[in-house]
Amino acid sequence: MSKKILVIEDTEDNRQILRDLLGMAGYDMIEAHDGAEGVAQAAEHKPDLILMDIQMPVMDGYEATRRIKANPDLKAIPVIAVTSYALSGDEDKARAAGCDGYIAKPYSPRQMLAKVREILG
Amino acid sequence: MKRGLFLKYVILFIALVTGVLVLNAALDLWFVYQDNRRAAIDVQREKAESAAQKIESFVREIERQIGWVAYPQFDTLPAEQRRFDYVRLLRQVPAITELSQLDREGREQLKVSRLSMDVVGSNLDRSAEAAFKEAKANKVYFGPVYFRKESEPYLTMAVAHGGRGGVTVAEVNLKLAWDVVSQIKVGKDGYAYVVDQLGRLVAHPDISLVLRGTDMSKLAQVAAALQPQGGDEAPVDAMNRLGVKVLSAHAFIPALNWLVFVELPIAEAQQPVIDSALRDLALLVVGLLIAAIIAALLARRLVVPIRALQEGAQRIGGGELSHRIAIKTGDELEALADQFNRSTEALQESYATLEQRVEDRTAELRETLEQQTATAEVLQVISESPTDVQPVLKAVVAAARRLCGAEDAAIILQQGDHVAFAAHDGPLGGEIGQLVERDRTSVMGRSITDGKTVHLPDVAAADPVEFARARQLAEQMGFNASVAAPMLREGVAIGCVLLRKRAMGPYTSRQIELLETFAAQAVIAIENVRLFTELRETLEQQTATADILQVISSSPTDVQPVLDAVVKAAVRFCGAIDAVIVMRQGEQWSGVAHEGPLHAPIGGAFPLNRETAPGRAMIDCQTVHYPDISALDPVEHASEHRNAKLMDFNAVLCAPLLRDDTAIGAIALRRRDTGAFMPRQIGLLESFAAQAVIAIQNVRLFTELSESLEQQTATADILQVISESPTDVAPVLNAVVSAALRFSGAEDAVIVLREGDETVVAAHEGTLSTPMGLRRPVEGGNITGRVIFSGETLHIPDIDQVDRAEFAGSIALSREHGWNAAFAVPMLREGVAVGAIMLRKIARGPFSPRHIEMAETFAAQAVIAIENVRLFTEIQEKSRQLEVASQHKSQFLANMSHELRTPLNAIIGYTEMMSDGLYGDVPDKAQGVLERVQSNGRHLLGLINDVLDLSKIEAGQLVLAIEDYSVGDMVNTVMAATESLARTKKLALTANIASGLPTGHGDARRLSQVLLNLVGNAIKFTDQGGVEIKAVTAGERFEVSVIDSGPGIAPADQAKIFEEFQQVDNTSTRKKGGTGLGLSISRKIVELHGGAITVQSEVGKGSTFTVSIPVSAVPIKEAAQ
Repeated sequence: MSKKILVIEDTEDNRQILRDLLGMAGYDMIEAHDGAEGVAQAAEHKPDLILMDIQMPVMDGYEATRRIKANPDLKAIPVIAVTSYALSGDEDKARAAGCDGYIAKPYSPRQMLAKVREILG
Repeated sequence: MKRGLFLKYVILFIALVTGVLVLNAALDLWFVYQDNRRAAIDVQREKAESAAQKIESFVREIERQIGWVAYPQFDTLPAEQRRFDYVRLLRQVPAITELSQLDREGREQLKVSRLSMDVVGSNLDRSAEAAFKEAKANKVYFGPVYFRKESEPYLTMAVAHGGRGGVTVAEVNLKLAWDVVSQIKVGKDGYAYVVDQLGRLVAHPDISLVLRGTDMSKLAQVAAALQPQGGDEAPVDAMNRLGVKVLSAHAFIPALNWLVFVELPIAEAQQPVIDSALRDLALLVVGLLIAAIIAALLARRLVVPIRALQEGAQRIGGGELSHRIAIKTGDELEALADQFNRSTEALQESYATLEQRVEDRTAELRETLEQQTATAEVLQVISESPTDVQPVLKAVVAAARRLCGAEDAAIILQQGDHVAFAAHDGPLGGEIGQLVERDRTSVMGRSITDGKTVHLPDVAAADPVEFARARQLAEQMGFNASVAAPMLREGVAIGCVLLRKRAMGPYTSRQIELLETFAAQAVIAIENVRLFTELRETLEQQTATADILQVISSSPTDVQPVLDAVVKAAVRFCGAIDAVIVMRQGEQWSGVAHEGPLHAPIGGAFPLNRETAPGRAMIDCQTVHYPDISALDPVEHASEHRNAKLMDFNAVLCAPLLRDDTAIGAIALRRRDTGAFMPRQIGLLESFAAQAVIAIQNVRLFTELSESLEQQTATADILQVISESPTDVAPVLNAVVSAALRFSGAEDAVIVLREGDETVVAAHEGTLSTPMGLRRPVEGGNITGRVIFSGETLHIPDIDQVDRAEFAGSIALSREHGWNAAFAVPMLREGVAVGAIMLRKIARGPFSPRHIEMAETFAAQAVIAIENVRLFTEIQEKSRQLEVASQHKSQFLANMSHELRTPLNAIIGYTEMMSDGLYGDVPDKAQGVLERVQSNGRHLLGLINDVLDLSKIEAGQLVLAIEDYSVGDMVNTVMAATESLARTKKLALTANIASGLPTGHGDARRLSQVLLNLVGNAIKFTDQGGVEIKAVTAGERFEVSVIDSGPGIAPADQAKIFEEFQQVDNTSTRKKGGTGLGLSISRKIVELHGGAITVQSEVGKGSTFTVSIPVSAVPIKEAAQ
């Protein structure tokens, strides 16, 4: 059974990139358009990895990460922040919210895939 | 001389004998030493040579014996024959222990030995041995010494057989050589030894040294002897191995190149020398004894007569002049005794006359002593009587009479044209103090007139005309001889000392001299008294002056004690009975201080005119002196006449009190009797006048100072309150009213502030009622309203005196609050009154101008405080706004970063995935495009990062990455990045790069960013035409221009565009997009390179932006802002 990756991202273009990238790499991808939906999807599908945008409508990525990490069932799922907040201090903020990794946008798809493989094996 | 001479002779003699003996012994020793040494060396050398010869012949004998078998045909003999020959050789020569025969190739054919079995035809290859090679080359070979069984020395000897023959090698026992050496004996401790050519010990009495192969070449004598040509220079004096000094001799053994040394310890070698030295010492002692005896005998013969001479001289010296010395030695000593006797006789004769001369001299001395005593006595009297000259003069005449052989002595002093007796001692006439006309024909008169001593030994015989008066007096008083010495002060006679006697005859020169001394002493005494008196007067005046200064300094606020002290001092020191100080008040004057019995004009006012002395002194600013008032003009000085009569005075001295050339008063001295004041007294009075002025000045200044200090303190207090209360004006206004009230003498102080058409009471202190916060319309009918309207101070000394219609409001308020006088000053800000300070009092009467002035100062301070508060509030508001703006800016940056990165992510992501073939194969041409997209995407990302660096730039933290760059490449990169944009807008994008531009040195990425920004802007704001990039050098700088045909920029906006968040106008910003940061960043980057960015533009005619940077940039560290 292939691994499940939950992508929480409000921009269609960016979801499409990951859809193409992760699909061709053989992963199943679940999508959510904002933080709140992401938290619900995580609870429902229990993915192996969550790629979390930060700046999103309804609920931002920090809050969504906090909620996921507060849920004992979901706590173990690694969460990688994928964000265009690239100012110094943004990575610290993401980690403080509970993120296990940090990838700045714009990222290189090759590097993104390498990172995903590193976590999922 | 008792022992001295005797001892001296004896010692001299012994020293002489000793010297000769010592010199003799030393020379003797030196020669003995040299002979002994030479002999010892010769013996040693002989022994060494003999030993060398023995060893040489021993070796040569063996060589000769071996020669019997060393012939060419020997090798061809049958083995048995050869062995027989070798055995025979061994038998003949006991020293040979082993013989070996080597054939011409060096192979051992035969070995015959006393110690081992014979070996025949072993064919052992010994061609490499030195014995074989050396013997083949040199016929004979002597090897080095070696030891067998560690006891016996051996030597390898080889002899070549000649022709095509081989070599016979013999091992030779050197025991004989050792025996030779061991047998050598030199003296008791001498010994011999042999060394080989390397200095190694070959033979020595102590065989153990030899066995150890001791190296002797370290010894100086061995080293020297081993030198190729140094054999003869080897030192004779040397050290042996044990460090003992030895005499060393050596000989050479030519056959073996060995050396034989014979050495004898120096101590032993020199034993004969030491023996000789002991002999010489014994001889020296005997010589000394003999010398001592002879010396004692000789000295005794010389000393006895000298002692006789000494004794005789002692007796004569002791007064025994009749003694004669008897010495009969018949030599120089006898002659000396005779000479001595003759001198004694002469001395005896002269001694007799000496006593008379001493008596005469003693009398002379006594007389001189008396005179000196008298002189000293006079000096004593002078020193005891500094203030009174009379005792001195008396002492002088007494001494003169006693010591100068006169019956009568007198001192006469000159007084104007007259003379008078000042002191007299004697029976002749002369009344003290009586004035007599100075007459040059008298003795004293002539002396005083001429300043010379006049001496008449016989007055009766003197010239009747020249000395008429002298003759007359002499007859009258019965004296016959007279002398007078002048008393000279600075060359002028002030009197004389006169001597007279009844007996005729001259005074001795000594007496006259003494008289002149007395005259000088009298002058000194008179001078002393004069100086002392002057000094005392001066001191008294200075004391008085100092006293007054003391009073001045202790009374800085009150002038009266000073004036009182001045009049007291004036009476005391200026020779008056009465003194008064008067002060001028406009056209009048009145007395303020007085001392004395006369009536004084204290209190009343007198008109300032020239009829009185004070008036005249004040008008003329000059001292007025009336020695006799009755002599003054009765009309001109009418008042003075009247006052003099009224108050009973007849002389006046009056000095003006002058301040800055103006008389502020006068000080007058009055006397009952007529007579002039002395110049000293006039001077003193003027100085008292000056002191009085100083005191008056002091008090005035002190008062002014203390008032000004109080005001300044109040002002400072208010400033303090202002500084402590930057946000609240109320404490300041309260402090102002409080200070104004304290200094004005009013009952009440109020501050009202204008607020629109009303005034409001903002501060109040005092007894009158005024509610705080009371509002009233601004109107001209009351005081504060009028002051606020006019902006001028208003002063109402009496409310009942003002115009009832005009001040209706104020009058009503004065009735209501119960005040009668008031003034108000406006609080002016930029000429407009923002309020007023009003002071009110119940008593009627004017406020002093100073108080009004102070209130004006306070008003100004109140305005400052109000302004401060206003400015403070404004600044606070401004800084809050600035903070908000700064926060907005940071937020903006963060947002922009996010917004730009999100789309960029899609661009870069898709491009990379396409390029990686994720969406299927890509044609080569498309692959190139994808790469350009990717590179532009990354460039854009870099630009975004740069924009984010703005904060760093702002903080001065940007660091340039300096590297080499090409302006051409930079322009091309920028062209490539922007040409698609230009194409979209249908603009012509052209580049014009001068050829041969040098390689630049700077931060290439940042400079590209600048250029990209400029070109991007140009394209962005240009709708038709084109954009041109132009690069040239100007001196040591690059000038890169971006020229567009856009709308242009108005001159007023040209400076603003380089500031952050500024674009020409907001509409164009909205239309064209952009952050408004580009030019700001560009300018900073260029400036960090030490360059400048400028714009030339005209509305409607396009713009040219020019970047000018040094070809080789030295980064400028921008100060943190």
